[in-house]
Amino acid sequence: MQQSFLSYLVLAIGIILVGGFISALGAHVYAIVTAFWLRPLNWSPRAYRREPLHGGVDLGWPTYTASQLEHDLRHQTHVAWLAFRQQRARTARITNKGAGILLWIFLFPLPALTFLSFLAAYVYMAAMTVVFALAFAIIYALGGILHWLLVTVVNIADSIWIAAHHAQASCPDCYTVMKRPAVVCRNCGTVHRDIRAGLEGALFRRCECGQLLPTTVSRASWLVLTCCQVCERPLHSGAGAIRDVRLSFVGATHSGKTRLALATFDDMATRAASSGREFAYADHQTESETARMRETIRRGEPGWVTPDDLPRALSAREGGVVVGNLIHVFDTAGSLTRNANANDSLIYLGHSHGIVFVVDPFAISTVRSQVERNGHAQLLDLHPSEGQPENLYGAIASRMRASGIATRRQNLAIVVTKADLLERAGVELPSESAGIAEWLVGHSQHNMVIAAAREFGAVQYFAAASRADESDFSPSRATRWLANAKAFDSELRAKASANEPEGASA
Amino acid sequence: VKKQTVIPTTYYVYRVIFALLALLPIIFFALAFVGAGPFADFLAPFTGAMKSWFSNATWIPLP
Repeated sequence: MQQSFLSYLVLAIGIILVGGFISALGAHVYAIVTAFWLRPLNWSPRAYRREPLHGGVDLGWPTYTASQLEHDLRHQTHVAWLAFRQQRARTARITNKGAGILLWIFLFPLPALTFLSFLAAYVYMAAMTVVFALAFAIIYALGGILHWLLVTVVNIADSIWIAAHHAQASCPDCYTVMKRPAVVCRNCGTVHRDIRAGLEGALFRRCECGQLLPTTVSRASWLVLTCCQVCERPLHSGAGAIRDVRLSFVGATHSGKTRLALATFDDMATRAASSGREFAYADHQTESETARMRETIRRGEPGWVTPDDLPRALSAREGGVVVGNLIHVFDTAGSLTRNANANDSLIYLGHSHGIVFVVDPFAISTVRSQVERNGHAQLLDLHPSEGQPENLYGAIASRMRASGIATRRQNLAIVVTKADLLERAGVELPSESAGIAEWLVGHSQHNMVIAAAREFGAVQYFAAASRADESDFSPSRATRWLANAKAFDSELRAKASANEPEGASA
Repeated sequence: VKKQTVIPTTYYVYRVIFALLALLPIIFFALAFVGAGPFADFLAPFTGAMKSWFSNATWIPLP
């Protein structure tokens, strides 16, 4: 008899335990379906809002382990316990109020077992919450470790790429030089200022709109549109991934800076086509102005005077994706170099790797006298340029020093232009660096020659004519020397030593 | 320009893993309790004793 009652008691305990288990499991399954699929609490980029290094806010989806996993666990636990409490309250309402009292009378002891099942379910609920927390911890640990390993590898690889290529990105409009450009989402146009692998992704980051973007500059600069961190204007393809070479062309008005700059690109394009090396204009402006200048030179017409506005860089890419230079030329109006007040605006002078100082030979008084003696005075009228070059050089150099620019870190190419006209006028001009330096000293420009050697890192002298077919006076020699001066691979070093004369004075 | 809100697919993948990782031990425990599933052997002594006890129990008819 006692054993019989004990049997029913054990059976009742079993029903209580199983009922409690089913109740707790049901609450958790309901919570999973509700919290993960039907009504998830997604931690959106706007809720997440990370402030990058360069200011502003980057709206990108964080990775699941970075943010959403924790919120899912909290949301799921909250929904599970809420569902369980509602389930218990509903049962209590049915059995304990109004006609529900009759259930206690007619179905006893089932209502009591239900009540006790809910008590047991508390234990199951607590245990299942612990199990879910353990699952969270496992995913967080494994996913987090794998994610951060990948992030570390990607970031190190990108940093090595940038360092090995001396890569930087420079804005052709506001002249800002940055290590990493901002990236524009190709779908919604949102600017992402810090795309590095991290909490928003290892290989890719996801924009708020859902668009995937690369996390390395070496990929982003080719695959998507990049822009300046400061003015948000578009940067050239490859900016930040290949070597950035910035050259400032300075000289007097009518000295031939613009002609030299554009003829340089034209000459480089011709040379690249013949040697099989890749060359591409970085923007439409450079390409169209080069074409316009090519036509002007072909017709033998004089060039145009650079406007007094601050220049937008003329840019072209030489070389491929792996080994290449993005060359920017800042063609400074002669009036700006004369204006001391404009000096602080010419901030690109300080960011330049090299300065190209353009010397108009017809501005040198002894040359003018010689040309007149040779009976070519009409050339002087056609190509007027004001002031002695060494005076302008002194003014520019002193202003650069006054602006705190470390000129010793920059290389200087002094280019004597209009070499073809000089030849026509019967004035002999050497084509090698040392010879040109001597020629300038001989024409009372010794102050410039002496000061340049003292004030700049390395100095080379060039003679240039705007026609690309005259190889001794090739317009691109100065640019090629400056671009290859800080060679970063054997190919460029070999090119620099093979193409350029020895004897750079330091 | 197309503005849209797209929940990353990885969120759903992680949620499935999360749910399976949490529910599977609970389901396996429940299965083991009735003598099934991969972990039935762990609870076999307990479930065996329980079955034996119930089969040997004396049941009186309920009123």
